[in-house]
Amino acid sequence: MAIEYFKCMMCGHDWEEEVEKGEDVERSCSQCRSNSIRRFKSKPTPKE
Amino acid sequence: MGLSSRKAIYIPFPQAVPCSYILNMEDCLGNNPIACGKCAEVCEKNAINYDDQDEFVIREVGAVIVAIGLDVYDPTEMDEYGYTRFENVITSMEFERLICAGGPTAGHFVRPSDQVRPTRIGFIQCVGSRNPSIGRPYCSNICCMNTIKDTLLLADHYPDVKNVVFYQDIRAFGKSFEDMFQRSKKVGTRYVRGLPGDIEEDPETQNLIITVENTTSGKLEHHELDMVVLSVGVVPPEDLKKISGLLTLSKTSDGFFMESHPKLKPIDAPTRGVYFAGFCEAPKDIKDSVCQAGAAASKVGGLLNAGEIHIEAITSVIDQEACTMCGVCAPICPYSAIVWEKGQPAMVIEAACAGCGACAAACNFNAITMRHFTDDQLLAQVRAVLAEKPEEKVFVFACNWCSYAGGDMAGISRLKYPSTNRVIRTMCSARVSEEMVLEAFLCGAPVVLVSGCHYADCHYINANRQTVKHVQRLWNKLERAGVRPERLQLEWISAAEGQKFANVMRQMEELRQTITAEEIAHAREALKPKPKKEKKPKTEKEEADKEETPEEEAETVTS
Repeated sequence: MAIEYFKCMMCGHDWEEEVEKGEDVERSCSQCRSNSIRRFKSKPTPKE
Repeated sequence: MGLSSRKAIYIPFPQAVPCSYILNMEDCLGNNPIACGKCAEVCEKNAINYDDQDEFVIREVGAVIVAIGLDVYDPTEMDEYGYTRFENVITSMEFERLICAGGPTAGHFVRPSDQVRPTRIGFIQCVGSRNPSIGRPYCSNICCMNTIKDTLLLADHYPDVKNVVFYQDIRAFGKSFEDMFQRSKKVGTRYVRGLPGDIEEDPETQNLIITVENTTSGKLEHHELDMVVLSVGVVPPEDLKKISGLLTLSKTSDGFFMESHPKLKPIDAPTRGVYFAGFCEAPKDIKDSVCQAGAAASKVGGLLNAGEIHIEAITSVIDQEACTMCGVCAPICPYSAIVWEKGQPAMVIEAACAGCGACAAACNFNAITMRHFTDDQLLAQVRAVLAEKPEEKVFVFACNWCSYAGGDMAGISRLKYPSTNRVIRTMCSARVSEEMVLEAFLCGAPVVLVSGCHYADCHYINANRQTVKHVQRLWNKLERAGVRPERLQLEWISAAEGQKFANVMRQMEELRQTITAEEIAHAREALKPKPKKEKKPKTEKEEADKEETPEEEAETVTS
């Protein structure tokens, strides 16, 4: 298990989640239900 | 259960198919050293061979029917029901043996602790089924009717027996099943809606005391029973994983085999020539298993007697000269239809190729052509769609089976959504290569949407996982080029989700209106392909590393 970071490319909502290696999960944003979920291994720094 | 003993040679149970004897070699004396040999002496057919060993048999076949059955849930882990602590708590399978004329008590129903016939019997439903906390969220399909049958059987054999069934829902949806349920109630079976939280045993009488909340009346009830039967669910068989690897079959989240299509091809495995029958595909009763087995046999008959096999017209072809032998395409194919060996160009087994096009999108050297959905054809469509007023259009790539059909559904349902979207159909969303998306931005598209089937619905086993990888890489690439990555969107839309399709189109239009002319112009400039350097073919390992960690790129960009 490792912590990974996710950002919704539709509404900008971001969160972190424990991820199992090799997991096969369909992700959606808990706020807007979009499937455009970008995944990061380290926390993305907010843009200026 | 230790109620009787059996000999070293026996028929497993009276209805066994084939109805032949089994030698239990652990107990047989006639093996080594020869000390008994009586069964061999009396067998007129000379069917007994003590030296027989397990062996691998190789057969060449044209089709395979997978009918590996099921395993029964072991209730040991659900300690609240005391299966390991109380002798008089048994499973529904053990109940079947106890009441069976061929069972250890010759059909005389007794409880294990004192061999006395019980008169108050409780059945607890959904043990190992519909319970997400133990990883078994699915309904086992057969347990409700099995319990109803058992209560009728008991009422028929022993009219003085009082049965109580503890349940959360009774699912009696098959032919005549509701009638059986009503008959069971008529003969005096009491149905209590609510599952017990705990079972205790009276140490003197070894009776079982159940406390349960009757959710219909809202009252707490106590039941003293002579015996409790746990109506255990079913679980995927142990061998399933092994078979799944051998035949490249995928599994559903419940752990059973995934069929090619849940409605249209429930017998077919995604791998051609492989069919399912029975429980290994999903929990089902005898009637459904027999139907599925008959259908699978007919399909095999049709396939083997056809004389010729029709293959998909839409398949991938590898240009042997252009192939750099990198081997990237082979592991991507969900059907294992690409054969590749180091130092050899890859080759497509056309009979196995289902035509998703994931390999064509993944090939960095344009060595793979997908018939009828070639790069040239799709790129020409992109350019044509965006030839005029591209800034007013939302560009959509939709997969044939789900998203495109979702668009149709939105149309049939007369749902309103902005008319700015332009949809290009591909067989699978995995066919959409990075080049196609970039081409759309180069042609001035303000927003590009890649859309495919939901994970569980992917018509090419799991090809749409490649789509996610492509889109992740593209987000990184766009960000690196100073283009807002939000301009590329990804959505899973099923054929039934017309409403979602319309909603997504509205969202895309809202997003499009936020994109300025300057942003579009910047993207056209920034994403222009740079003059190509001579590319060194990547090794399979390098490519695999890249596939596994697309986020690492993002790390460097964003941190």
